[in-house]
Amino acid sequence: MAKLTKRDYREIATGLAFLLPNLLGFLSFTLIPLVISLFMAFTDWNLEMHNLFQDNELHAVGLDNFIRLFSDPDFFTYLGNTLFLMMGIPFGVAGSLGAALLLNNDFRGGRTRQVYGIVIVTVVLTVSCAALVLTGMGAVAMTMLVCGTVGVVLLGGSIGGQTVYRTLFYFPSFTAGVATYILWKKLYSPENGPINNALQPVLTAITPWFSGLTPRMAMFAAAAAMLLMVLVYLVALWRAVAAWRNGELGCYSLMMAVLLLSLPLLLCQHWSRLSWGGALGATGVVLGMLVLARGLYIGRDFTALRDYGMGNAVVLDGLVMIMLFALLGTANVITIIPEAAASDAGFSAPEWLSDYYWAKPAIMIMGFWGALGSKNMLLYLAGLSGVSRELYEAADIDGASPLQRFWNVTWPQLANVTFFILVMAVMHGLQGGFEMARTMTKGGPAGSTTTLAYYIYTEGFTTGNLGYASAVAWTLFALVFSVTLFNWKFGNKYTNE
Amino acid sequence: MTLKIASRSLKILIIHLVLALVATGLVLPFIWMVLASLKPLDEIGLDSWLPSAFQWHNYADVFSMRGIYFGRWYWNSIFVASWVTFLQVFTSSLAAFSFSRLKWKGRDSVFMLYLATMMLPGLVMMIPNYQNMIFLGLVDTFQGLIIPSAFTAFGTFLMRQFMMNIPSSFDEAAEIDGASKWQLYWTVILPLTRPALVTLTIFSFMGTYNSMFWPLVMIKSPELYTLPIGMLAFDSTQGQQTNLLMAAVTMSVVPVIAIFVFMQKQLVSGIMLGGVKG
Amino acid sequence: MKKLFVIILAVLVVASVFTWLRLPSQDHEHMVLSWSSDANPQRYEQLEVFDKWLKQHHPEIRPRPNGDPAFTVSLYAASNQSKLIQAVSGVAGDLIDGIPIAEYARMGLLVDVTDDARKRGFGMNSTYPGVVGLISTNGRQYGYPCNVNIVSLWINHTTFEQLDLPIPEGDWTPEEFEKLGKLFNEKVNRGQKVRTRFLCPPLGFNFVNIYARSLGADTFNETFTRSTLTDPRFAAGARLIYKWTYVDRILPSAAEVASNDVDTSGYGGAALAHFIHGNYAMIPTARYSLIRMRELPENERFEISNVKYPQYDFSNMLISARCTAVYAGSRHRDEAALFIEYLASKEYNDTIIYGADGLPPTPKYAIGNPDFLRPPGYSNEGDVHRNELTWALEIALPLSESPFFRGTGRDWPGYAFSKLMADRAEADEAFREAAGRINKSIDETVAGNARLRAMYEEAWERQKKIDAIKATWRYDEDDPYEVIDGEKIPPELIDNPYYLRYYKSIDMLEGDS
Repeated sequence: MAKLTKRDYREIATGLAFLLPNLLGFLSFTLIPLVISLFMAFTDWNLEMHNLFQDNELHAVGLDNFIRLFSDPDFFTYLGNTLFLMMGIPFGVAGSLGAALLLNNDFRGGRTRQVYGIVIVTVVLTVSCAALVLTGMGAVAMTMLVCGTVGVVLLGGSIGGQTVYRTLFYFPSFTAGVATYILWKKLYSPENGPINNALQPVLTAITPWFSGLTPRMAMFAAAAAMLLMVLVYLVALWRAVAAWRNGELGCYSLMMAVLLLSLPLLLCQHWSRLSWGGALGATGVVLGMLVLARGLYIGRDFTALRDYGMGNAVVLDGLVMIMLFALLGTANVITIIPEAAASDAGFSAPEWLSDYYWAKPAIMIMGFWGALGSKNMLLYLAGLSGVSRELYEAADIDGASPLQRFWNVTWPQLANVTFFILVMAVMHGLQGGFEMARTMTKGGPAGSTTTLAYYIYTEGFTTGNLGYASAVAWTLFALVFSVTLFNWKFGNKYTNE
Repeated sequence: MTLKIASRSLKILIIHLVLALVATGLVLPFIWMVLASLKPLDEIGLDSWLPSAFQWHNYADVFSMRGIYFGRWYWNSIFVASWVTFLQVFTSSLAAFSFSRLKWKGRDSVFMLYLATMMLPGLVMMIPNYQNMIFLGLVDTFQGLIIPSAFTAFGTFLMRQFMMNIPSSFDEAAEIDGASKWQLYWTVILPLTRPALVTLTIFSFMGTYNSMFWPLVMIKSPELYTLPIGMLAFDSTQGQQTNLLMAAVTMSVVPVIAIFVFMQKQLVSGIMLGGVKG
Repeated sequence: MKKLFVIILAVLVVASVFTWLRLPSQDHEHMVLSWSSDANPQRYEQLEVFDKWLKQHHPEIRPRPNGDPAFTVSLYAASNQSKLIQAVSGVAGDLIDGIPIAEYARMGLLVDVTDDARKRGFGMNSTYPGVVGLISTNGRQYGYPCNVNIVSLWINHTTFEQLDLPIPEGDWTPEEFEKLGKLFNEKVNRGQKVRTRFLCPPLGFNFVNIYARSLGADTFNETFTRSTLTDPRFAAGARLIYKWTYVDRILPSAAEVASNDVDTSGYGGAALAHFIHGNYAMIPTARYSLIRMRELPENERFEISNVKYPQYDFSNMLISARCTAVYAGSRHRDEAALFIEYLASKEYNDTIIYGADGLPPTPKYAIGNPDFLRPPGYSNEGDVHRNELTWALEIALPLSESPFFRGTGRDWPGYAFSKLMADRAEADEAFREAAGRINKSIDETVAGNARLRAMYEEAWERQKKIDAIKATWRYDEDDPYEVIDGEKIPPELIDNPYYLRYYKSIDMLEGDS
């Protein structure tokens, strides 16, 4: 290292002087706590034993906290909860993309704008009048309310264009916080919340449709859904292997794809309500491995860098994975339909946050509401404005359908944004869930909405187990860090255009 | 030709309709919130969202509830958020100036360290920070809420990104005029970063106004609650009075919505600039 | 820019000064002791009486020149955050409340007041036998109850009469409760889609505990060395609640409770408000509810009575007490100790007796006191006072707490119960898991603390002796919990007050016959 000159010192002094206020805070509230936290994770620091009034000796316990953590079923349950809630991410991202695509359309009709406004309002009024007639006088006020809102929004949209919609879309994510969580808690109120008030009549109305469904038929339907799941899995795997052979995927990317795709089938063991669900999942995986083996045996026609196509592998196969989970869930739901339809009350609306199984989906739905118009939508909008017109024109000349246009032009152009958004969402998702759990469910019912973040809070601040809580926090850190590493390793190819 | 125009109009109309329907869906919870806050208690669970009579005094009632110091919490939240915002903007613009307009050895490594901490889960630092606050005797004080939040790596990053784009000719001109570094920062660079300053102000304010974790562990006296933890207390003690609760919720999101509506433009550009977080 | 900066700074500084001035602690110039407790309306009156008491009984504490008392006590309402966190951070009030406080004492957070108590007449023998374990650990006293509660089932006679339901009296069994519940449903909830009226709110683990105790099992063993939640009597009690909630639908489910809106503007929470409105025909509560019920205008008051929880042979109730202690981090220990002394005074006990904030901590002021037993002006309250006092003196026992179990903020039995209610586990399995966790935690705590380990080993030796004696017992063939004969257990082996009482009642304790 070159010797520092006097001038260097002076420059460093000036630089640090400006940095000082921030640096002091940074050191005392970030860096030093970080070191202390690491140290804590290897001690038995417990507020009941070690506090201002009780000076018991602090023991270094080595890896005990981590061993306890990995032998504690709670930790894995809560990690599972965290990951489960994160399955909402792709829906949110897809929603943002859809919203951005819609908003990106050209609204400007020049002077005809006002004309549209008038046309639209007329349409709305007609529709709402029709609705009034159809629904009868009982629900007049509510119908007027909803139609009126749509009308106002339309009017605003036709005058203000994109800005108005964008503002409205962005509302939920912008206001997200304790207040909106409390609001949703009330919306979800099982017996008299607006959601169930609207849902229950619908469910009651459709109950008779299913009354003919015998358990045996339901079983077949569920089996069909499960088989479909295996089929989708095999096709997706087949395509992944084919892509690898064509040189569109590297080895690492292929491994990633296989891992993501196989996960739902492996989890059939625990999650399927059908007695033979686990076996079916295992069979599917075995078949998949055969497909993989065949592909590997034939070898590839074009080689690619090991991590080539990672972004596509993660995004597309991630989506397929979610779809597989959805099919699994559908199969499970089908099995309980006959029982519910046969009961006196018919289908009853879910108890949302009070129900062990519905609490997580309820939180995911709320998350979707917030995610649709979030900053991800804005990032997508920015990305879309960067897509060159020429590419679209070229596609139009080729006579591409809108879907093809999207798939061949828009999607690849947005790949970097998507990848970036997903990585960020995963990092936030891993650390998330504290505020919702604290506000809406206290982590319940029976721990079903306790995420790692909430676990750290209860361990650290309710039971005073600082050593153990730090160990959990560092394990979480390791997870987040591995995502960062992944991003750093593979993300560059997609984010630096 | 007319057909083409017609089909284009139809397309736009459909897009408008879809957008309006989705937007309405997203806004409906807020509409319910406002309407429920105006209902008498026994109408909360009814199918109709509209109150039989608008009960405006629900809003006044929130301020006079037993054990709920809503007005005080409102003030506390805004007070704490203002201080934090002021300090964050000040410290991070200084740091960003050092990182972007000054040249010194080791600058970039220090900046990388800053960046790296943005990836850290805040939870890791929370526990030792709490011990830290006990040690400093700041538990259950406003200082304990304000001081640890006054420094932000994200804000520094945001400001630096912006300052990097200011041409270096400004610095040179200032140097020729014999301006000191402080003068350069204070009279030349800072005024040029106004858009970034505004963005950071909004982010900081919103972030602090909404933050729940730190106040939850730091504050024990109800007189010092900020709104989020005050709302938690409200919900857990008197939450069964849905109409009043919704009135409180409405009042607590109003500042947020106001900021959003008035500052939208700066906010959107800020998100593009910062991208990373927020 | 400069101007803006200066203006903002100035505004912030002004705002800070304003905020500073409005902080409550700035109102006083003299010494203020802070008491973290719940902010029920009676508390304020109790504090006023304290000022008078202080002047009268401790004239050596001179008032300030302007005539104000030398120090006052001010109330801190409990907050969102756990008391543990506050206490260990050095910011708790000078006086801490806890239900119970022995646990805080073991963490070193409280000042030992044993000697003061003996000298100044607020020793452990002046309060109820059932709460001694709550205010002391290892024979040392750390505080005094500020009110005592026996939660029983309170009955709204108006509701019962309107529905023409038989009002339960005296001892009753779970079967009788179930019958009443079914009758209630028949009359009120038949054909209802959304139900808003119930016989009783969810009963929770307290019922399970009383149920198991009435059959001879407790959550910990005789020496507190092991959790005995694995006992089938707990699972049976929990299954009963499950059945009442989801099969017979006597008790509302969590979803139904969450949906039931009610005006909670008065003191006492949602269940009490429902009780007053007749939505719950009975609620588990205690005398403190009268604070709210007496606020009702005369024409809205209704007759009340109370019964024990439904249970079997060994009649028992749970006693709990809000206890007050001096915080080890207080800078005014001596003054704070005076407040503890005040809690055992006639003046204070009278505020409880007349204000109905639970049972008075010192029973001698209530026994035979007609103002307590039949308060003038409140004839609708019937025998509730007499019943509570009798139960507190005769059959009530606190929840068992093991000195070896450090479980602050953890409610494993409650968690097991919630798992059962959410269909996550069978009752046996859930309680087995909870017992496993508690025992594991006991092992860990004992292993990390030499002093505790010695205590634990000594207790474990006694437990082995007890188990050996119990192995000689023979049980009734029809009733597996009924002991017929066997060796008797020497009482000095037993730490758990429940077993002392239970074995005495079945005549298996040495030295009495």
